[in-house]
Amino acid sequence: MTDSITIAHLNKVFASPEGGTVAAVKDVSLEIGAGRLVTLLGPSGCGKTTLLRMIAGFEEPTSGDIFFGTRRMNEMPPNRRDTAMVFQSYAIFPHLDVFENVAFGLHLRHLSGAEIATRVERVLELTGLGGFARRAPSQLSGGQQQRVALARCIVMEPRVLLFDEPLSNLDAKLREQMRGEIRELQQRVGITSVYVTHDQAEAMSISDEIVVMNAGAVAQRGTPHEIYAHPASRFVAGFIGRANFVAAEVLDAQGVAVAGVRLAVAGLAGGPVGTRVTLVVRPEAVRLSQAEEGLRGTVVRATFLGNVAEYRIAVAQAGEWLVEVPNPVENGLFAVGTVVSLTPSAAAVHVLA
Amino acid sequence: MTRRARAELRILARDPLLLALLAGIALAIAVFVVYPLLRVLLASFQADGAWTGATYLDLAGRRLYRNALVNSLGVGLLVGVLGTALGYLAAFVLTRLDVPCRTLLHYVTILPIVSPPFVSAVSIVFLFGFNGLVTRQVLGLDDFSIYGFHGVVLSQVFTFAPIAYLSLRGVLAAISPTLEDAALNIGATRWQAFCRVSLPLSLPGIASAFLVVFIESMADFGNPLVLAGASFPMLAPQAYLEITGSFNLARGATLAIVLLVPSLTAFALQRYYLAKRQYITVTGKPATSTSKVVGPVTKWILWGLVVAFALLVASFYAVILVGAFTRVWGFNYTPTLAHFAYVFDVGLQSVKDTLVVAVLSTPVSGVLGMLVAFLVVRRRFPGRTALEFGAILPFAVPGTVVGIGYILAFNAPPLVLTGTLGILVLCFVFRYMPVGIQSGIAVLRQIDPSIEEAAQNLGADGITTFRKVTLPLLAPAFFSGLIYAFVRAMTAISAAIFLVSAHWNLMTVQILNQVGSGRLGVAAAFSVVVIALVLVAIGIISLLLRRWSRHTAMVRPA
Repeated sequence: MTDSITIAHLNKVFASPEGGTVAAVKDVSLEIGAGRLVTLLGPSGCGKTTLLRMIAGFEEPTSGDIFFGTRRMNEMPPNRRDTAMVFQSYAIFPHLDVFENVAFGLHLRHLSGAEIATRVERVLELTGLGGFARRAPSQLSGGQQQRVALARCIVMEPRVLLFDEPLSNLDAKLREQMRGEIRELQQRVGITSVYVTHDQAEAMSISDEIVVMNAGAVAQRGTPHEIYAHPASRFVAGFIGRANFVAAEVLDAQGVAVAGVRLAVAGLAGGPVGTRVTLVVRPEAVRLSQAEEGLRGTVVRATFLGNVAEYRIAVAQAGEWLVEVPNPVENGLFAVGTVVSLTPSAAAVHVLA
Repeated sequence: MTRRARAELRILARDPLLLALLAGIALAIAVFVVYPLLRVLLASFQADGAWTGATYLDLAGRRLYRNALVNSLGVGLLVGVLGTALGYLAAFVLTRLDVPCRTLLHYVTILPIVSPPFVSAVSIVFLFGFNGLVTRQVLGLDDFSIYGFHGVVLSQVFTFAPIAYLSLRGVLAAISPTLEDAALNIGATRWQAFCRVSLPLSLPGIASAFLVVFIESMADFGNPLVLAGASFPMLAPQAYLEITGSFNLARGATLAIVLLVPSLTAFALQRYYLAKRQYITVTGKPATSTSKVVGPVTKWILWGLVVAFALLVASFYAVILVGAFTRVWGFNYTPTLAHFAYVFDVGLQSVKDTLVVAVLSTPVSGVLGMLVAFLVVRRRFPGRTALEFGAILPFAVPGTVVGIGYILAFNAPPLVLTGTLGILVLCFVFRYMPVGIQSGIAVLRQIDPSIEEAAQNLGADGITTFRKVTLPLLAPAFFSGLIYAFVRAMTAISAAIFLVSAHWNLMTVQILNQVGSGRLGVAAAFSVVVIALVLVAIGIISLLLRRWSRHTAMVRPA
């Protein structure tokens, strides 16, 4: 049985070592639907891990409430919450082998030996640890340790699954593979999950929903698409992917002026003519050409990255832009010093108030 | 109560079993550590049922007691300096130089730690006493006396230098040899590299070792009792004599307080000042590189000194062993089993008693020590520092003070324990817990707390987490704590001598009695039995450790 999670006006204040106090989580309210995977995403120190640890019961909220379903969890000690957490360091019991690690929680529930064996075998199979039951943790690779941590949680069939930056100790290739596996597994078991990470690509690839946090508060929540395409603030736009922030002035319902040049913008909410706004222009949403019209700039740096060419382009009165052009092998590279014309795609430009 | 304290208690109360255990431990420490000390303090201010400071004035006015204080302090300081110097030398040679027989020399050097602290005193009497092998038989002296200042210093340096050695070994091993290499690389001479890099880095460790040796020396009871003699009074034996000889409890208590003050001062310095100033330059790579600050000639000279010390240790033990099989040392060197026959006949009861007390107190002390370490490092509760201090305190309190405190505290209702097995066991449990606690704390601080959180997260309450996860992970600290507690319980004398009775007697007390009545052969035989039992126990405990920690190699994230 999985549960929805409701968080209402949650605050956490720590005593700082210097004697003052630090607000780690500020008035956070969230609703996480049963069976969904929600990511808490933000830079280090934004309060995401503290929030997760309050859900697990390792930290006590200073004020506010946490509900699993309709049950208030605030006073429930961690061992009775029926959550299962994958720790950043995996926290595998070094004195127990793989089987004993996975069976640890089941033993505490006083299940029969036969049932424990069946359930552990099944989960080991599910997590690709079939032949490793009697291995000591020290004999496992990083990815295998990660799987043990995951298996140990899933075997409990908990109400809530919690992930605290579970992939941050793996190398890039393995990280990509594991996040696919975690997503697949979560959807198969259908357990409500909260996933903490500072890696936006990881968040984008596994989440039903992303909660971007900054300085203890929720900056924005939405599907990965919403958050990327329509960031609510400069912070969110800058944290999720890369972005050019361009000062502009509203001309009419379809266009803005950048450095005196008219750019078409879709979905402009109007606003009085002359309002100063900031545009979020993603590097991959700009087309470069040598046409002698529109917004023009000089290539300051050109970097060949294989799949894309990355340019820094100085645009008169509009700062330096970062632009990515795909497939440079075929399209060639503009040399440094070339004057180019920049055309942002109207659908991809987002306007910040 | 502050808001924070209330919040901490509220969280703890969600784990009632753990809270009850914590309360029990706190109460036990209050009753068996703090309360006896308070009783000593109170007794020192009482005469004829009235409050007074006269006992102290009385003490200050008499030359005997002034001398005892000066003598104890003087011996403590000198033994501290010599013991630390010897310990540093041995630690430096055996950890940093590429010399032969390092393992063998290591084990010989630490041998005095596992034997009763006054075995060396007995050896010294055998060698340098009035009928000593060296002084009488070899040199033919008849007016030489080993008793007094030099005898005590010799015996204590020999007994306590190994403690300095062990602690400095850890300090030196934690300093990366690449720092010396760096100094040499930028043009320092070897001597400069040593004086300006190696030595300053180990200075806090040296000071710490000095204070520990000083504390041990002040607290030492057996060596002074055997070797000080009547003309060289010292605090610990004097306090004992006041109580058992003249039944003057108030004066004994006052002497105990005078003895306690320097020890506590040294302890506070070591723990709260120096401990925070230790340099640790752990790089994650094993520091096995040998030191280049020592030239080849110096190297062999230093090695020679360590070998000489090891030979001295070995010869002291050889003398004990030979003495145990010799009819009358100094007069009749024919071999005999008579002394052992005595030990296993008249003395058998004390052998059994000693084993019973040690076997009962060791596991309790060990588990309790790990529990305290767990609570102190992993839980937040009001009075946490006080609990830690109370639990570690017995390390700094001379056994004589503890013994007097136990007599004062448990001789009358509500808790009458004198003369029982219980008082010996309780005394040993709390006296020998601190070393286990300290190594437990050190190990716990290196263990990722999320391993225990994972256990809780999977449904384990506080006690289950401790039992199934923390304790197994603490296995190395737990077993070294067990070894320490067992060794000390088998070799304890200073507190125990106040607590033994006709029903429960200890071998160490027997050894002292035999020395006192001049039967050195029997004393040596007892000593041999104690050392043999200790070595067997260490073997058994080490075997247990190996079976217990089948794969406790720490897992690190890749």
